[in-house]
Amino acid sequence: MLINIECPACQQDTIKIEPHMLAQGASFSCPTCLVKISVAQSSKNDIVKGVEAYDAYKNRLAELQEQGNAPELM
Amino acid sequence: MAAESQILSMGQQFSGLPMGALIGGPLEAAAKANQQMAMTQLQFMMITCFNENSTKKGSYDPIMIEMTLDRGVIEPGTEENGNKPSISTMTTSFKLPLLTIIPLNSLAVDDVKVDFEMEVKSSFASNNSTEHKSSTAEKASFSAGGNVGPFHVEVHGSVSHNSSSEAKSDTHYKQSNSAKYSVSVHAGQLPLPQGVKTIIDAYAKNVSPVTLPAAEPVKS
Ligand SMILES: [Zn+2]
Repeated sequence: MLINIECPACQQDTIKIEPHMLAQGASFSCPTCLVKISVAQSSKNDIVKGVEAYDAYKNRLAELQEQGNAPELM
Repeated sequence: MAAESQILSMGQQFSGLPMGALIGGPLEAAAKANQQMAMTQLQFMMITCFNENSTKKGSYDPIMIEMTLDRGVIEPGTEENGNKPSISTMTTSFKLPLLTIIPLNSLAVDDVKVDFEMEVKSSFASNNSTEHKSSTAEKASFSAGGNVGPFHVEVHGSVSHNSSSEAKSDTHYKQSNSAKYSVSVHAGQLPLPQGVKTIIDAYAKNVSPVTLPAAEPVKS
């Protein structure tokens, strides 16, 4: 899932980031001004924990969505 | 006529049907799942993306992620390097709330469809000496809308019924009553509350960079 972030340097374009790759240390570029953004070393743990929690949350939501989309007739 | 009282009117026939359970049951199950999803979403947001403020109880601060931003800077040449311009990398940093990097996705129960058709029949027969013949037919349709939990619900239905009675001279009396009831319920997801969208948008846009005090250009 790609996330759009307004480029903090040129504010003319959006930088598309993929949270899992970002947590693994990848950097993403602005297509207009070509700046590169990545996670600073000081926040590595926070983002890794956040991405893990996000995966667990998505799995739980998928279960609930399945239940809701195919409700049983009472 | 004594026989007529023994046949049920259309209203009576449908009054015994558990319409509430038939329509409401699946909708309620879907709404419940959706509510649980909203709770899961809220818990995820509060536990993963916020920290409770240690000095101000009941106040939550967003967890901020420090990001580094690298950009190339062209530096004019100096006399020392023969006036050749060089490109250096300038590193700045900015902070983003974790919430905007792994945002709440809009997963939700898509829509719920409940379609069914019912036919109710009631008949009565007896020997009768009265001569009587009549027939009626009616058709009606209805539609309604409203909200159930997080859903917008539309109900469409139609009822049609036929009534006929006949009596043959002095031997046989027959009366029947039948009705068809067709119901179609469609519930669609209501959009994300505007307030939640506004908060996420405000966080996402508020990313002004700050220059790291210790940042030193790296000559390339
Ligand atoms: Zn840019």
